[in-house]
Amino acid sequence: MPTTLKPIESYRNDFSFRNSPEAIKRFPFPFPEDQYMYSVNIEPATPGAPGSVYEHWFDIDEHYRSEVAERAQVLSRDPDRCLVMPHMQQAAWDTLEMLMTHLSQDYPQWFSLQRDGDQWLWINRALDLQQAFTFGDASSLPYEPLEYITRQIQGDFALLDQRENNLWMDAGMVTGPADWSLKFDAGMSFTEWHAPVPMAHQMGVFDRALKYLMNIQVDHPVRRLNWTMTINPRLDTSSETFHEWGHERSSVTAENLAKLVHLRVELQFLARLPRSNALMFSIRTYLISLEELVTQPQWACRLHRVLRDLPDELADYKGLSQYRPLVVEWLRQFDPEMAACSA
Amino acid sequence: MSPSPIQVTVSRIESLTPVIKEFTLTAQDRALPGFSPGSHIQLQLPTPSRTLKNAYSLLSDPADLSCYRIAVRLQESSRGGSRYLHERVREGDHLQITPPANLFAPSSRAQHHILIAGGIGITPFMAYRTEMLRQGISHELHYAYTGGLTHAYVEALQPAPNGQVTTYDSRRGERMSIEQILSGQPLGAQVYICGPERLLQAVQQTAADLGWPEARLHWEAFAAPEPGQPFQVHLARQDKTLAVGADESLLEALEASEIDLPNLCRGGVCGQCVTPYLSGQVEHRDNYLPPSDQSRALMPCVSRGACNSTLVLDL
Amino acid sequence: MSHAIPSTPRYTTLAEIPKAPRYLLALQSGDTEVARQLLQRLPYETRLWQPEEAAADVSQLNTLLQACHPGTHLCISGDETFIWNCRNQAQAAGLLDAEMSLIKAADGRQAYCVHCSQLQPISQDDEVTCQHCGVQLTIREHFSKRLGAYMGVCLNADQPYGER
Ligand code: FES
Repeated sequence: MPTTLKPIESYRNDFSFRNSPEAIKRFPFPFPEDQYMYSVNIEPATPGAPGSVYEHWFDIDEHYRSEVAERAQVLSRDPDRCLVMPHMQQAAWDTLEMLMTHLSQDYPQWFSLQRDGDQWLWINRALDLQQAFTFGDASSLPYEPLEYITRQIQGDFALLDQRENNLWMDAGMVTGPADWSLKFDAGMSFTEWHAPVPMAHQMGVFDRALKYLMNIQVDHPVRRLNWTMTINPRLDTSSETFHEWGHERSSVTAENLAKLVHLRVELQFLARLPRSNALMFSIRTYLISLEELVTQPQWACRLHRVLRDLPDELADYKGLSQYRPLVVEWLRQFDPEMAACSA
Repeated sequence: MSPSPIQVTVSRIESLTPVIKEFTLTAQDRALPGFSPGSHIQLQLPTPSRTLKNAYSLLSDPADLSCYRIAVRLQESSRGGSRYLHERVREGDHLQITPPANLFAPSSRAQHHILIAGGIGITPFMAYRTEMLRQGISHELHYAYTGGLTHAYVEALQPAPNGQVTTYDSRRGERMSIEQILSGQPLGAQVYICGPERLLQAVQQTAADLGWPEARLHWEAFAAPEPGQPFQVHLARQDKTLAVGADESLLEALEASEIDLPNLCRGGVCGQCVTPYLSGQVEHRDNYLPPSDQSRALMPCVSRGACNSTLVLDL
Repeated sequence: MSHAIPSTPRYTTLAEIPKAPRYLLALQSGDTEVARQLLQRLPYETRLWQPEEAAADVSQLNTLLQACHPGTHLCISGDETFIWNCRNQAQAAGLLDAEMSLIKAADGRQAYCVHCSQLQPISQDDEVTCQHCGVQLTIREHFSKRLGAYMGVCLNADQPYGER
């Protein structure tokens, strides 16, 4: 069934964001087992089932207009959430080309791209935009190329330069991160920007992941899921605004948690940018309230077990220690305990 | 998991010198993927005795995806890959290639790029130069060759304000002074070498003498694997024994019996094909494994067992 | 102080300075024991840059760097703020990390307030109030070489501006 784009809902203030029953069904629930396992879980990003979030490289869903509006709001207050170091210019154009090409192929009802040499015409019917420009000439666009295209797409983007046997976060558009800051982490190596993650370094997880990522080849992207929890459907849980949203974690009660607490899943997608040899790291975030989530009984049961058994260190890192006991207690009603979680 | 191959047609073959031919490859069923300067492809060559996979640098313009171009030097001591390309392949033939991968990319942080080529090693720098001239990136090219034999592209290399070209024809007794090239360079300079092993070693030595750290040096070290002695290999988990011929690599022998290992460079640099072994003598020929790992693992794309003992792999 | 993590900077000791054909030395003002030992250890012809003020204009270092060639090793000695200012200047001039030795000779350092994006000098304390936006910050071990600063994040989100 073709997606219908909803009118704009909000990820702040009155938090009018909701998932339709269709959006709930296609939510990328991240736990394939009843038990939580810590693993690298990277896989080739082969096209998934039609209608699923894995069908296309860049997933556009019913929240498209809301997310675009939210990004514009963040940028109007904090324009530096988009950052491109001078040596990343070509990677920015690579990104624009990859996004325009895939969006117009995969969603012809909303996007179209006409190319005549370096004279390009981009049409975005979903936002009612049309732009003729010269590919490679930043002055022919209203914004720098990375900013121009990522203002029209869901999800955050980091562009990683590959040199000296490492990956360097030297460009990006990050307006909805799970408690990190592009402005602070920019210029860091893969090892450095993962420094705050507990446990995994000792396990050698990042060393292995880095080798794998550096070998990603053109047209053979990979993906993985990551997760945390967020209070309210708030997309901008950046470090920058932590002093504005952090207090919401202590407002969780047994009565309000079903509406307030959200599972936040990141579909991370990594693709080689052909001309620059940089790596595109896209982070597409999906939010679902517990109330919406428990409409799928197997998910409710699994989430109960995962949260119950999560090591304290990880719960602290993910920032959910404060309200975890309440949530586990509430989710217990969906878990038959002795049996497997069944559909 | 190896990426799926691309079907191409050899649309043009041009003799550049008595020993170097250029091949133009056009896609058959899908568009060619984009690539960055320094990328290579693997070409599958169905020689009469077996299928070889050789890596070649892409020399064409990265902005032009209507075709890929490679240049191949006829190697006297080769295992037949270059001979097959020179003598058997005709315009209109169909071949298979892997998508491009890059193990020799220019550093985005360098402010001045010194490119040093020997003979057929000019190929990756053809793509480098096209891109650097287009983007106005500062560079200089030093190209040593033998006039009348390996002088491919000499006429095509036009100097530019942001990219000087110096050529050295050994027939005319012109010698490259690496010390002179490296002396007096600005702090933002990095050097790239592609050519015979002795050229690489000479640059490494001179750079070390001048106090340049290794991080300023980049090289394209892979070549088709050198032939060696025949040897036996035993696969412990599958309980299977294979014979590896003098002119095939261990990786090729494994592939011939349907054991596919990940691989990118087939030249001992990328680290993809690393394989643990349990016993036997190994002739390590790669540039990847640290000595500390050599007693446990080997790179089957280039390294071999000794001819009088059986190599036992953990496969 | 909490544990070092992979982004926490590491500094070299004098004994670890590698051999190089030429040295350039950037010394923060104030004569410390480390500076005296460094001058003794490095060859006589070593070029020296020692600005008068502690908070020096590091772009002056650039003039010296422009006259250098690969093979030059830069030793930087001072507090963390001075070290990273110089290091970033040298990196922009083309010097690689392998060509620099960073020697910490004093305790001064900087925090970056992640909420208002401003830098401020701090002591070794783990808690500080942001001079620019007033948020009470906890200083993490997470360090940005580009900014030359430790990450400062709101200490208590329930009371970002402390008791007033
Ligand atoms: S395939 Fe690259 S090292 Fe063997």
